Amino acid sequence: MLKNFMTWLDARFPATKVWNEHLAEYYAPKNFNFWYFFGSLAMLVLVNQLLTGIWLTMFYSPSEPFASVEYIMRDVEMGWLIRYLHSTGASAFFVVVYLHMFRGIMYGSYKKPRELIWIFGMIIFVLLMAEAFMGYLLPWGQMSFWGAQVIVNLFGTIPVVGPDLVEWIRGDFTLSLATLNRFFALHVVAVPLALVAMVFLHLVALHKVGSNNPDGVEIKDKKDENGIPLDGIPFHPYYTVKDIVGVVVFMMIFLGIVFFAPDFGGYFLERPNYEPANPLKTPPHIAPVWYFTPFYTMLRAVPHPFYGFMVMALAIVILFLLPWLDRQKVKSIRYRGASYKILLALFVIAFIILGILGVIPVTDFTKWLGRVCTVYYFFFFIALWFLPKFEKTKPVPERVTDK
Amino acid sequence: MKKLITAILFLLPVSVFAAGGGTTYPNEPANIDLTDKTSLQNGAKLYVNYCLGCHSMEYVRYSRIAQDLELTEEQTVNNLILGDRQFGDTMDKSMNGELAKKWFGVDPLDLSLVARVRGEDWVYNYLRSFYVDPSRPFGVNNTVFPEVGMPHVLADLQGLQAKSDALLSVEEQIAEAKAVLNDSEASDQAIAEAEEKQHKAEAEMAKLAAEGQMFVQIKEGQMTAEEYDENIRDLTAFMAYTANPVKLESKRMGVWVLMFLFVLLILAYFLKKEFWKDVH
Repeated sequence: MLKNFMTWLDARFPATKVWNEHLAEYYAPKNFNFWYFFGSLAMLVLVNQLLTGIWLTMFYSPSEPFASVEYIMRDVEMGWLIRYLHSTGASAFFVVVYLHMFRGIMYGSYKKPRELIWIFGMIIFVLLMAEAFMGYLLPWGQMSFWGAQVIVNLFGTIPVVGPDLVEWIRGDFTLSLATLNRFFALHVVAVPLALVAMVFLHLVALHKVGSNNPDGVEIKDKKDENGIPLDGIPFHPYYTVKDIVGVVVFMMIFLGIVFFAPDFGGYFLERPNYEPANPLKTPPHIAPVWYFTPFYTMLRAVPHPFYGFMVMALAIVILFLLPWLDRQKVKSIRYRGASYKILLALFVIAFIILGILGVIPVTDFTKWLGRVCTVYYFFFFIALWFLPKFEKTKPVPERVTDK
Repeated sequence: MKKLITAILFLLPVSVFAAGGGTTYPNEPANIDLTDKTSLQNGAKLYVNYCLGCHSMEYVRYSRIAQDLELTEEQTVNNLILGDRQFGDTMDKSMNGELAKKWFGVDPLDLSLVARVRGEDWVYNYLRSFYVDPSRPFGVNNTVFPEVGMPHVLADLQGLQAKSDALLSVEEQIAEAKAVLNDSEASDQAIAEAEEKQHKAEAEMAKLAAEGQMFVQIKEGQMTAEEYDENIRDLTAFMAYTANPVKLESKRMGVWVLMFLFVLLILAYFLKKEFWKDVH
């Protein structure tokens, strides 16, 4: 019966073919370590955001934003849970995506032939930032309003077209409910659509070339008589059952935060955001949500707002170029020289410091430190270009190792 | 292990530093107990009697309070609902906002969420820190919220207090130090001295606050100082509850969810182990 149905279906739709190509006969390297959980976790969080987002949209009203969020929190059955899942999900999304990107850098996963996977991934990252930024305006609290005010006004620093551009973005002469309405439309329809499409392309590109691994060895170079990579195992069932373990561990942390500390000490949901937006009252200290703070510090490190804005934009643009800036043929950090390891470790430290500086008030010392870290951030990418000349790499093994 | 450390390092920026929020004087912890329904009920009564006239809680429903504070509809209607409000209504204030603007210069804030914006400790300390100040329109000022525009509505319970001599002298020292620090022509030595003076005075201030020596009672109220603090604790607890009414429910549910996930984790781990037996 089922067999007949599959025959019928396969004649009309490549169901079995897709299943085999992407799961049952998609051969992934057998040596994935825990860093390889974050890709599937990002998908899980995306699904969480889409589902909770749909349910929030059923009750949210852009004409009474603040009151309707409180209505969700108090009067809608389980509304508080849906909202906390969504707000915590936003932060979780950035946690897993940052870790996923770091994995890619560490193991050289963006190198030939995987440049396009990285580019698609970067587009997802940029879309995600846009999605998070516009979503944060929707509760219409003080931080929603003033955070958006700061970011939108950045476009006003662009010479000549700036002021008109800002007005066009806001759809009003000030940041108002007209702005919120368009952000709402983009947040619930346009950007999610683009995100899902890009995730699809990210995966199609990945499955075309196959996954990299912690050794940076191409498993497709060594195949058995049936054409199956010697170091490959079918994604399903091996990695599906392994990912379930990762998913459960992730959910324990994630739901722990949702149920016990959804504000996360004011970092996931900022205190001033429980006060309705008030255009006449500037909060004493405007800090963006934690996931934007590294870039916010770069903005503040430059004395001139427009150049600061450019530096911030360049910090993202330069990430797109990573596959061509890093000219070292050896992929994985395991076989790269000490010089690379130091360079990368300092990069991580600089990025974390930039993040911390973004949430604390500026002093002379932090301004100076922010500048040093910003310069190092860019130095890292330039150094990658010249590194192969000096770097002492180790021999890369023929096959993957059991580390 | 190395990998784990790297992973933790990445999570650091979200957890290393605590959320800001200036120190207030006094700065006692509120020590509220959301599971103590009697305390919350007393807080609700105080809120309705002393605050609701001017400060609405427009997101809070009487029926929800009844449910969460274990009150019957009758008890709620008889004790908490004043005027012509219904059991299912939200807690609107009696005062007309337009008139309030004329009388006070502002329409008093909605307080549904204030404990979440300012913090419970802030609310607790604020309500205990009104002192007599003839220069203010209502004759009182507040050390936690200087130049506050609100009268001391709880004065008949607390009585009136004034700044103690010790506090006045500390404040004077801080003012003197600040005057030197703001003086652009001050010598380096004078600045260093002023900074030290300020440090000392601020330490003294913290000590006065901790020992409860900031104020002296100049007029007795219906309650003793201890009774008053206890009642303010109840009121703070009620406001903390209205700011986040699902806190207890969320924790209760969270425990079950985590227990379920723990069992699932064990199953998932052995499932993975079983499947991976033949991978070499």
